Amino acid sequence: MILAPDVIRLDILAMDIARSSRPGQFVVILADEKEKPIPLAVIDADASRGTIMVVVHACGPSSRKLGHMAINENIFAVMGPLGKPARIQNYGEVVCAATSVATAQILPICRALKNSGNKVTGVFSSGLGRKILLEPQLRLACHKIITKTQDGLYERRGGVVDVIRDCMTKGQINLVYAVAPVEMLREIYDLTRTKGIKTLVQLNTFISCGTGLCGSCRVRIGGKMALVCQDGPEFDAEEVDFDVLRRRDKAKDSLQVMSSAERQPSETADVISKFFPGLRKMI
Amino acid sequence: MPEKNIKMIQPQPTIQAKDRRLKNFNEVSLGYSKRIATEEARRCPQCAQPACRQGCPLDIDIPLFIRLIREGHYKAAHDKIQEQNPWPGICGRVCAAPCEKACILNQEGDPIGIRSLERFAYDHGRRKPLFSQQPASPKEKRIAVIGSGIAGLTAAWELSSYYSVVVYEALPYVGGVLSYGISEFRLPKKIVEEGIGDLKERDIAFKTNYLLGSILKVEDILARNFEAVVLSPGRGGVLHCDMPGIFAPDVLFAEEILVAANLWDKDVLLREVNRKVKANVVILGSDYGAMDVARILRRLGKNVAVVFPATEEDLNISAQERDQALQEGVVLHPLTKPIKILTNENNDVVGVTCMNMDFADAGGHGGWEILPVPDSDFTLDAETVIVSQGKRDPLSYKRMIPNLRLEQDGSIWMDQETGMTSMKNVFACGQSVDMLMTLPDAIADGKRVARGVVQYLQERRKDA
Repeated sequence: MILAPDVIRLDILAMDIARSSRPGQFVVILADEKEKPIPLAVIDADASRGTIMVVVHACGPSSRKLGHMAINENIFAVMGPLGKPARIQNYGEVVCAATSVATAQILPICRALKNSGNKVTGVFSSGLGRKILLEPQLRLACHKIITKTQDGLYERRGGVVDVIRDCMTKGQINLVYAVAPVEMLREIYDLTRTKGIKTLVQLNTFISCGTGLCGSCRVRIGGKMALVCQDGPEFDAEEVDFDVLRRRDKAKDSLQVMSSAERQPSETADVISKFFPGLRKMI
Repeated sequence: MPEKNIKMIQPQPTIQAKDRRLKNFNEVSLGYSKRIATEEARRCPQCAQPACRQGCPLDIDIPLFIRLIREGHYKAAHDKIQEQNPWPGICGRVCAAPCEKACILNQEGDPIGIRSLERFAYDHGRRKPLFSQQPASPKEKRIAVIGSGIAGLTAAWELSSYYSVVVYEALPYVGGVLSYGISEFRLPKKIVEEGIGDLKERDIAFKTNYLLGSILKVEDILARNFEAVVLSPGRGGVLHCDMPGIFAPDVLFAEEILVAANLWDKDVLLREVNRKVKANVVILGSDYGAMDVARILRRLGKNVAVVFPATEEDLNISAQERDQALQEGVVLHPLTKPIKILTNENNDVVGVTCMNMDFADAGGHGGWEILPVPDSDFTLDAETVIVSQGKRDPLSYKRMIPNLRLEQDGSIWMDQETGMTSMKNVFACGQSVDMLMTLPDAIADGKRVARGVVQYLQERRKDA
């Protein structure tokens, strides 16, 4: 199912994975033999039907091949579930923040947190025009949802960080859970650190093999080398070395989550909004 | 030339011309021709108490198969090897050849080219049987083998005569290190596939994408009507290297390139490697992984230098392979210790700071060892650094199987007599038991565990 331009939802029949996957885990998919493996978060697992749901952002050669497969076509290999499951507890007030394609990735987390009795506020932004991915599901999974787009076309304008700051001034928050590009994760952590709020982040470094073999997803956690595919993808933001992460991030594949923060608004749009302030809203 | 010299020289197998082999990924060594193989087989003195046979961990009857080659019975020679070793094609190419070190001619000159002769026996003597040798008879007892590396496959081969065997593999490809760790120009995929095809003919089922600890649990397997489980998950694990600059984006681990080159399609490989790897590459390390990556990148048109702190003779690879790499244009920097990876403000790698090493008698007791020369720092220019040195973490078996007893160094504990691990009906073999196992040792270990399983199950039946 096509969710947005180049963003495709796939339901894959994989009995064993559907039965044993937990929120926060991911799978590695090879569209055909001799193709590059693509790591994708398991958004939803239906044990009775035996399917898992993933969202593919088809922007590279390998992910395009996967995203543009026909219905009922056979996928060569689905490996998983990999990584550690998310630490779901009853924290109390929780803010879940995500941007662009990562809004799909945070959906199972929101759902699990809500089911375990937390009060979940979702803060989502989109770099993909008006569309927040899987918005209906997210509205069901959170108690309250605040959406915004970079250009202010949809609901409200401003960064995810600003919204979190608002939430923090309004009331007590026990946990911030963020899936976003590195710069934004760092901003969020700088903000939550001042108030001592526990912050969990999911990292999206470039995962190549998924089994802890190649080391392409290495990051520094708590002063030691860790692998996102084995020890992650969820980490405590206190321990994450964001400098190293930003350095590794440059090596990251463009197939991974492209954020609204990384994308500069196009020049044309700037020029148009400069001369015709009213027209901007219609673009 | 005096007669003695001729007898003492081991002929080198034919190899591809060097300017041609830089343009393809085909196997470099082409093996002995029939004439050279016969001549080499004639050189064997056929000792009454063969030292080579004692050197071989698999106990192959080496003098006999060499005699069969000499007499022209190539298929008989192949079958003779296969009685003890299911993989003559693989061993004939990448075995460490402890037999040649043990050969008595080694004391005076070159040993017999036993490895090359084994390869010759496979290449010329292998015949596919017209019909399956063992008609499929349903076997009652089932055994699960976890991990399809060489040790696991050997155990599966041995056990398939008595039980029906299922092999579980985490990756989408069967073969373990044989498939992702050894490059195409040393061990062609065709040979591995032929070996695995033989296994499939013996009614061994393969199940890929089953990751131990994630969807595959040992307890579940035992509950699913399997009599015993053989663990051979391999050593695995990722390198641990704490050199400054290791987290720069242009620093890769050797496995990233190896996996890409061995598993992915060639155009995918070109696309990925050209994006990740720049023109000047420095490789840190002296093992087969480092040298394989160097030769892969030479084939993709990069300038490659290999830096390692040992002498050139102490490289962990055979002299043949070293010469081939040198012919292909790999630059070696022996006795050089990398200290630091230099990056500029954009986090691009600009070079590697190295230090010269030399023999020195630091204690003054005549204990000469290789030590860094003081104030000999210099910088090697590099745009990409590939790391293949450092401590390798063993796979965390604790995470995969929580109630398994482990040794101090992280390998799996097992009973020395029966070969069973701390869990009932679970056996272990391969590098998960001993981290420093070579290829022939792993094959021998697979056979050992298979014998242990058969003996254990027979005894259990008697008791019952």
